[in-house]
Amino acid sequence: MKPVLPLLALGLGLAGAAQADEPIFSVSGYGTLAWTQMSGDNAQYRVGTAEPNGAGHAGSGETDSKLGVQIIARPTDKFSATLHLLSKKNVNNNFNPRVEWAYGKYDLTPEVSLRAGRLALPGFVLSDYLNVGYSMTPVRGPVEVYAQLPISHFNGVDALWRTQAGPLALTVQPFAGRSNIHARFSDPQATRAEGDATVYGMNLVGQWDDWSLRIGRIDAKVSLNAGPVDSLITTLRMMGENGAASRLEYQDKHSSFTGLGVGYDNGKLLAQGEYTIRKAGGFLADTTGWYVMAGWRFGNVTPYVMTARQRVTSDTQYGGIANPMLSAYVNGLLASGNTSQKSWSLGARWDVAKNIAVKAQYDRIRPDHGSAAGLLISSDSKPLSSRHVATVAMDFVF
Amino acid sequence: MKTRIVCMLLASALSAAAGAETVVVVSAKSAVATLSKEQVADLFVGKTQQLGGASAALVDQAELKEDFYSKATGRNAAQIKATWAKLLFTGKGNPPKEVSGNAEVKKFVAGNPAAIGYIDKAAVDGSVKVVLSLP
Repeated sequence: MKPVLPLLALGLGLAGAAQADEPIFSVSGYGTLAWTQMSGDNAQYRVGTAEPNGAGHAGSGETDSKLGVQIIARPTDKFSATLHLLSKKNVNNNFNPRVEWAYGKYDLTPEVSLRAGRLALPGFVLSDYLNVGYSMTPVRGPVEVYAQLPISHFNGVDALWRTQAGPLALTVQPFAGRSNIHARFSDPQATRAEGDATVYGMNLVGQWDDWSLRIGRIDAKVSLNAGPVDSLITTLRMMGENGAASRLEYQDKHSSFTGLGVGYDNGKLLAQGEYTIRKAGGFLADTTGWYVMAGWRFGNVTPYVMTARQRVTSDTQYGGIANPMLSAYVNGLLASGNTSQKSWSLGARWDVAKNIAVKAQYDRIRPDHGSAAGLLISSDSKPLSSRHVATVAMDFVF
Repeated sequence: MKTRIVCMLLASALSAAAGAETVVVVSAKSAVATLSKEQVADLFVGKTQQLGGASAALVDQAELKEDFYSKATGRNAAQIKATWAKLLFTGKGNPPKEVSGNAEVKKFVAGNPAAIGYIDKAAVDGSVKVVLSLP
């Protein structure tokens, strides 16, 4: 727990005098207004695992649009309370605002803070500000990586310990809690999956000069139910196919998510990459996802390129089920979990005014590695070929 | 003749730039004596949040903002705004308070030993202490 500026640690002892004449409540917010459109018929593009539908040939203003408001109360120097409301397209196909975060934070020392309540689940580099389009260069976190986790927050506790490790300004964040899961499969009916998970893990973020580094790990005990899958599991048990039933079932099943991220930003050149590994454990597939993004700032305009890939690493076949019809169902389900996909993106961010950025992004998406539709919702009987997605967005903060 | 005019223009441009020297100031009561450009940059982009063992109170001056950030951090005000948006919405930091004019910055800084801001060199008086010059 070395002080960050050792030479200056002369103990002025007036921590908090800084906030003496500041108001107790502060309100800030952000939002994105966006239009998203994809080429071709019989498929829809979505940016998460919750939405029951996405942007197709006709385009949609709902896919990437959102609005968030954050209220922070600071009754004392050491304690603050944060309420963060978010309105974006949800599992019920509406924009009803939800409580994304609601927590109390206590500063034990200048280096250590404890938080309790509803907190962001730190699964990715962008997790904390994934919805704040204004704070990032591309329109969205690439779906090949960011759609791997159906959870964005949890109810529990965490600690933030800021320290110095050699040249690295390091933040160590252990966390534990529980979360509900509300998700939709990418089948044409957007079958609903509901469940919960006990989560715990560790997040490390280091900053050194123009570099940033993140290593994180989440372990979870997941229970997840989806009508058609539950019926299939019941039938498998009745038929004595307990091996297949256990393979698919999610009852306190151990899952994990590991992520590594590196970023560089020297003011002109910016680059970022992440590599993630999902071990799903049940009827969902194991996946790896990665992306690399690079951009260059010309004054207020930042063009960028990005490539991303998701690959299913678990078996999408299950052999040894005697009944051919049951075997077909199980293998159909596993094949539909093959979300392997790769994409190329080109875009530009333009800081048009104070607090406002306008972005345009083009993505070329292609199902990969034997997948029929990648991460797209498809009602096509044939495997999809490549698709083009165009997005224009206006991000703002206030 | 042409070269001469260009030289004169250059010279006047340089002297204009030199005249607008920005200095980073803390309270005269602060124990902080000097800061490096990197330390100032880390404070104003939220990488470090402590000054002299206390929680730093940052203040931006609207008139000098663009110039200060380009000199101290090599980034423009829009980039800085995006950086602070990240910290603000994660509860990991609060952006600088923004005021107008040298006098307002001095008022904010003078009374708070943990405060830090920037003003024109010409406006320095006994209430504040210069910890870094940004010519």
